[in-house]
Amino acid sequence: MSDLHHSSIRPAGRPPSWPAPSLATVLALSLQAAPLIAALFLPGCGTSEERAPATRSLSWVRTPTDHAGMMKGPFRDGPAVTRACLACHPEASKEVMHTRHFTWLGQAAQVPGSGPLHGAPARIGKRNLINNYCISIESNWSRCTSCHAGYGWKDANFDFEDANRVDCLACHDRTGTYRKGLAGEVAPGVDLVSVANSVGRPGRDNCGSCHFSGGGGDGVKHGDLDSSLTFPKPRFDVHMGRANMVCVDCHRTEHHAIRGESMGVDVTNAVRIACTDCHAAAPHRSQRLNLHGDALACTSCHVPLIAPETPTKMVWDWSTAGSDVPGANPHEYMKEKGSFVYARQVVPEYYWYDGRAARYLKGDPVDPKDGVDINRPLGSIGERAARIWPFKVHRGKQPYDSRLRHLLVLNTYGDQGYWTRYDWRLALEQGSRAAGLAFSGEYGFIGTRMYWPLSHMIAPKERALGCVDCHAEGGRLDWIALGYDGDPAFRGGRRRSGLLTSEKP
Amino acid sequence: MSRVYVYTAYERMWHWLQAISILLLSFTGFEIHAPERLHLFGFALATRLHETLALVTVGNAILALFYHLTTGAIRKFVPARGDIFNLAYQQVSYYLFGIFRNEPHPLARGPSARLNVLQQLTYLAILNLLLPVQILSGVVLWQAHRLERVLSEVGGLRTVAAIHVGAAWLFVSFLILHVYLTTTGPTPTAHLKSMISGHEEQPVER
Amino acid sequence: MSRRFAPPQLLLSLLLTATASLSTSRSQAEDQSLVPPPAAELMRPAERAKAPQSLHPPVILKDKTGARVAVSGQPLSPTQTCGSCHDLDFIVEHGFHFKPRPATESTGSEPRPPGEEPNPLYSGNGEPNCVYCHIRGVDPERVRGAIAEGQAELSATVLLEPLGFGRRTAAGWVWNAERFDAEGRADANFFRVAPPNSAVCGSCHGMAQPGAPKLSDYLERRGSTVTTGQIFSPLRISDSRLNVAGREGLGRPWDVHAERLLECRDCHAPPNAPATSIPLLGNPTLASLRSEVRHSSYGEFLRRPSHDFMRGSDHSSATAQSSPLVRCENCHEARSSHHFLPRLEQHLSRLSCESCHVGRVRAPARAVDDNTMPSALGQPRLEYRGVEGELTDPAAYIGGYRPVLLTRAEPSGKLRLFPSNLLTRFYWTVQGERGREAAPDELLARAFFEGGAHRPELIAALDRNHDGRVEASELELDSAQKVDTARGLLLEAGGRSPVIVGEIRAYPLHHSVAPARFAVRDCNECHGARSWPSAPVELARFAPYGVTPRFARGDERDSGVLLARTGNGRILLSPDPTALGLHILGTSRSTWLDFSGGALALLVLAGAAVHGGLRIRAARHQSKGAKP
Repeated sequence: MSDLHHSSIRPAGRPPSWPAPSLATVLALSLQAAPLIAALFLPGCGTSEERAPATRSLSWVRTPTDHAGMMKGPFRDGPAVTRACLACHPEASKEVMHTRHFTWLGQAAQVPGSGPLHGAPARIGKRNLINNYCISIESNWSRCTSCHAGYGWKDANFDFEDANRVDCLACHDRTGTYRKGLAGEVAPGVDLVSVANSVGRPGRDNCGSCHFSGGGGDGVKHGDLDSSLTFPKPRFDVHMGRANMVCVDCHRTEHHAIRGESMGVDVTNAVRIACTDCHAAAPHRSQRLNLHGDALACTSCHVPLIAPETPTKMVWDWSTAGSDVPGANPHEYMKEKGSFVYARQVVPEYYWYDGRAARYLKGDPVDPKDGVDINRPLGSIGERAARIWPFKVHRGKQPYDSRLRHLLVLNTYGDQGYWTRYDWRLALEQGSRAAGLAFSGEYGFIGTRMYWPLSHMIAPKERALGCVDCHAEGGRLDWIALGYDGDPAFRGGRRRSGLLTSEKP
Repeated sequence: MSRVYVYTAYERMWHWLQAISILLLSFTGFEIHAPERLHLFGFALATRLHETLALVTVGNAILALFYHLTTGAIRKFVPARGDIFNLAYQQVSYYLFGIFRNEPHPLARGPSARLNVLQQLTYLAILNLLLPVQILSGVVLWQAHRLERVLSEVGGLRTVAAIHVGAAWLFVSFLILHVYLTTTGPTPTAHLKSMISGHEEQPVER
Repeated sequence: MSRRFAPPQLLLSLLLTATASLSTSRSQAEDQSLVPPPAAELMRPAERAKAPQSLHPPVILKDKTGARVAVSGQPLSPTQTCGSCHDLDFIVEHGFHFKPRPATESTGSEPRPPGEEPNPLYSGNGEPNCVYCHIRGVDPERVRGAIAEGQAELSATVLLEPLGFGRRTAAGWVWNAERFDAEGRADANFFRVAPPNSAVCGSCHGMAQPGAPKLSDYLERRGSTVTTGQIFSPLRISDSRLNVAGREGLGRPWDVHAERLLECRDCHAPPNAPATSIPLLGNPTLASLRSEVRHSSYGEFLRRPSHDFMRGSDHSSATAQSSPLVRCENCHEARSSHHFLPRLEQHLSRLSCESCHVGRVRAPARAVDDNTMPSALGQPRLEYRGVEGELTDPAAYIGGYRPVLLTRAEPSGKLRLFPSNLLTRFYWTVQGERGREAAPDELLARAFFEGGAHRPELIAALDRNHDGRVEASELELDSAQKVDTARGLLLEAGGRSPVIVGEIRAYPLHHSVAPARFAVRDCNECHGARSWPSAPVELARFAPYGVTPRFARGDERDSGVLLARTGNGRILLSPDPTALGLHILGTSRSTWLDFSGGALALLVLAGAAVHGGLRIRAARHQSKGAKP
C-alpha cells in the first residue's frame, strides 16, 4: 500500500483573507449594472431541481358585475328570479334556450352507427337517448330533470319556449346554497334573495352540482369528474388544482353557448375542446415525446388513472335488482338498482378515437351474444385523425326485449315505477310506451358498455405516464389489439410501419 | 491659467473603454476566483463576461498600439534619454515633499509632454510586461484543453493560474494608485476633467 | 399498488382492490352472502391480445446423460440441453460470470473481503446455469436454496418450479409431465427463452427489479445498490415509497435509462453480437471511425455468443479485461447538448458524464463494514451514508449523499473525475501460509464466541452499560485495551499475529443517472472554496482504535486525498483536486498569493489614503496661512 498517508486534518476552509473594504464600495456600484447585463446573457447554469410551474394569466376572463343589493326580493319561485334577471338581460333566456343545457337535444346530424335509424340526420340528446346507468329520462322526467337548467320539466309536455323557465341560478349562484329538486324546481329552503344577489361567473361548484354527480351520485358517471374537483389537489388536476382555473376557463362560453361536448350524447365531434386550444402542438422539450402526439391524445399520458380520489362506478348490473338485502352497502347493492362495483385509481382502457362515436339509438337491434356498445368510439390505427384515447368503460347489464331484440326503457320513478312496485314487466311497459318503443312483454338482461373518454383531472407532468408504463413488458397498452405488429418503440410507429391507410384528415 | 489640449478624442475614448473593461475584468475575475465571496453576475455569466471583456481589452490595446505607432504618439511613453534619474528624482521628491508645499508640478503637461517619467516607467512596465503576461496566461487558462502539452511544460494550470491571479492583484494595486494620482493635478479633479474634455487648465508659467 | 407497474387493464384485479378497500363498510353488512354479485361476465378483465411466442425453437430438456428428462426423471442439464445447439465451452471460456472471482476482488456483489460464496450461475456442478438468465419467469432465489442444501445438481432445475415444470419433494425432483409434449419438448408457453432482462441482472447486482425499491432490500444481497446506492429502476423517486428528502419535487426516475426502456443488456451487450456497436473512441489511428462496423454473422453469434459482456467497470481484474468498456460516449454526443456550459471542452475533458448526472445519490450506500468485532449473530458492524435511522425502518429519512469525486482513467487513457462511494472495511488479518490474509470467519467465531454469545472476557471489556450483553452499539473497539483483549483471544484461538486492517475501496457510480433537468447544473456546486470536489467527506463515524484506513491495493488514489482521524475515531477524507492534477476555477487557489496580493492592494490604498490625508492637511495649513 502506498506510504503517502497523512494523519493530520487539513484545515477545512483554507480561509484566505481578503481586502474587503476597497471592494465593498465599487461592488455596490457595479451591483446596479449587474442585473441589466445579466439579463442580456444566457440563462446558463441555474438551480436544477425545483422550478416553479409557469402560469399564464387567462386574458379572456372579465370581472363580473357585483349584483349585491340589485336583486330586490322577495321571490316566490325560480321563474320569478328569472323574470328579474331578464329585466336587465333580455337576451339571456333566448340564448340559453338554444343550448343543450336547456334543450337536452343536439343539432340535427347523421348519427354514426349501424341500423335503419342511422340514415337520416337526427337530433339526439339526453332527452331521447338510452345509457347504461339509469337508462333513460323518458317516463322518469321529474327525477332526472333536477339537473335540467330549467324549471318544471315533469313530463313529455314541458314548454321549451317559455323564457321564464330558464334556471339562471344553477350556474350563476355564488353562495353555494342553491339546490334543485324534483322537475328542476328550486328545492325547499333555498333563500332565493341571497342567492340572486350573489350571482357571478360560474365556479367549479356550479358546474359540479350536476356534472360531478351524473349517473346518480358523486363521481358515478365520468371517472374524471367528481366532487374532489371543487377543491382539487394540485397533483390530481394541474389546471384547477395548481393554476386554480375553473371549468369555464376551458369551456369558454359565448352567449351562454358553452363549448365542449360529451361522448355520451354528442357523437359528431363538432365543438370539442382541445388541449391545443391553449397548448402548443409540440409542447415537450423532448422531441421524442412530441412525436407521440401523432398517435396519442395528450390525455393518454396526462390522465394516468380513472378516479384518482373518489371512487367511480365501473359496473352496474340491473339484473340483480329487486331483492331485499338488509344492511347492504349502497356502493355494492341497492334493491332499486342492482349490483355495482365502484373503484378508484383504475387504469383506463385505450382505444383509437377520432372524436366520433357509433351511438346506440332507441330501437337499434342488439345481439345478446356480443352485448351492446352504447357509444363505441370510432377510429382505427389506419385513420390519421384518430388518436389513442384513454377511456373509462362503464359495463352494465340492463333490460332488453328478448324477442324484439332492442334495449328497453325502464320506468323507475313514480307510482307505476320499478322503484315503487319492483315489477319489471310493468315498469318496462310504462317506460317503453313513454319512449315510443315496442315491448313484446318478454324481457331479459344484456351486457352493455359505455365509453367515457378521459379529459379532465389532467395530471402535472411529474405524474404523467412515462415510457415504461406502456412500452415495458406487460405495459398498459395492448399493441396487438390496437392494430400494431408489436411495441412501436421497437418497431416504429404507425407511419413508419405503414399502418396508416387514410391520409385524409 | 491656460487651457491646454492634452488628450485627443481617440485617446480619451480608448482610455475610458479600457477603464471600464479592466474594472469589470477585475470584478468578474474576482467572482470567478472566489465565487462564494462575490455574487455579482453568477459564476457562468461572470466567466463569459470575463472572456468577452478580455477580448475587448486586447482588441482595444491592439488598436491603441496601432494608433500610437502610426501617429507617433508612442513617443510620449518613451522617457527622454539621459535625464531619467534626474527627472524621476524630481518627480519622487515632488510627490514626497513638493506636493505638500504647493510647489508647481515638475512637468508642464501638453499634448506632447503628457506623462511624467514615473508614469512613463510604470506604463512601460504595465504595457510591456504585465499586460502581455496577463493576456498570455489568460489565453492559456481559456484554451487549456488545447494547450495540454504547453501546460505540462510550464507546470500545469496551477502555475499559469497563479501568474494570472498575481498579475491581477498587481493590476488592482495599480488601479488604486492610478486613481489616486489623478487627484494630484492642479486641482484634485483637474486630471479627471481633462480625461473627459481633453483640455486641462494649467497654471501659467511663472 | 405502484402506479408504474399497475397490471395492464386488469379490470378484475382493480375491482378486487376496490372491493377490498371498501371492506370496512362491507363488514357492517349483516349477511354479505345475500348481496347478489354483478354478473360474472361483467367482471372479466378486458382480454389482451396474445403476445407472439418467443422466437426460440421448442426445447427438448435433457439430463446429464443426454436422455429426455420427461422420460428419465433426472434433473435438467444445461450442457446437454442448451449445448446441443450452442457452444457452451466457448460461452464458459468467454464468460466472466463463470470464472471464480477472487474474494478480495468483489465489485458489485457482496462487499465482504473473506470467504467465497457459491456462484449461482456456475454452481459447482461444473455446468453454466443457462436457465437462470434466459428463461422468463424463473425464481432466482431457489438456486441459492438448492446450493445451500448441497443440491447443486438441481440448480438449473429448481428454477423451473414456479413455471409448473415440476416440484421438489423430499425424495428429489419430480417433473410435471403436462408441461412436455410427446417428443419431450418443453411447453413453449411456459419455457420462454428470452434475453435476460434487468430483473435477472438485478437479482445479484443491485435493485433493478420492477417495483418500488425498499430499504429492507439493503439487508439482503443487493450488490452494487448496497455498495453505491445505485438503483436501476424506471420508477419516479416521487412515486416510490422511500422517504427520500424532497421527494415531492423529484419527479425523475431512479435511472433515466431504465425509464427510457433500456435493459442492462442494452449497454452490457455481448461484444460479438451483430447489433452491438463497439466504440473505437480514443484510438488515434482510427480517428475517422466511431465504432467497429464488422461483426460476426447472426448464425455465428447464436452458436457462440460471447458472455464477456461489455464491461461496466475497470475495477476488477477478474472480469475480462479484453471486453470493451461501456461509456456514455458509446451512445451520447455530449457536445451537441451542453451549450449552456461555459468552457465546454474543458468540462468534458476533466469531468465524466456521471459527475453531473450521478452527482447526487438519492439512496443510502454502505460506508463502513467493520468486522473487527462481529455481533453475536456473526454480523459485522455496518454504517450507511445517506440515511438517518435504521434500514429496518421503512420510514427512515433518506437524505441521500454526495459521492466523492476521484480521478479514474477513461478508455482513452485520459484522467477524468468520477463520482464514487467510498466503502471502508475493517477486519482482522492473520499471518497465513501465503502471507497475510483476512482472518477467516471460523477463527473469529472460535475466538470471540462461546455458546452463541460473546466470551466473558469480551463482555467484560465491551459491555459499557453492564447489562451482561454486547449490543450493536458496543461492538466498537475504541480503546487499546479492547483491541488487545480481542487480539489476545485471536492469538489463543490460533491466529498468528492478528492485526486490524482498514481498507478503503472506491465504488464508481454509473447508474442512477439523472435526466438533464435533474443533473448538477449549479456552477457554485463545484466552483468555490469548500465546494464539492474539495469538500471533506466523513469516511467512517468510527474506526477501530489506532487504525487509519488506506486505499486498497490497486486503487492508486492516496495521492489525491488527505485522510485524517479525529480523537473519537471519526475518519475524514479531504479530496485535493490540485493533487489530482486539476485546476478548478474558484476552488484551486493559493492562499499565500491571495494574501500577498490583497496585502499589496491594501498597502497601496493605505499609502494613498495617508498621502491624501497629508495633502489635505497641508492644503488647510496653507489656506490658513494665506488668509491673513
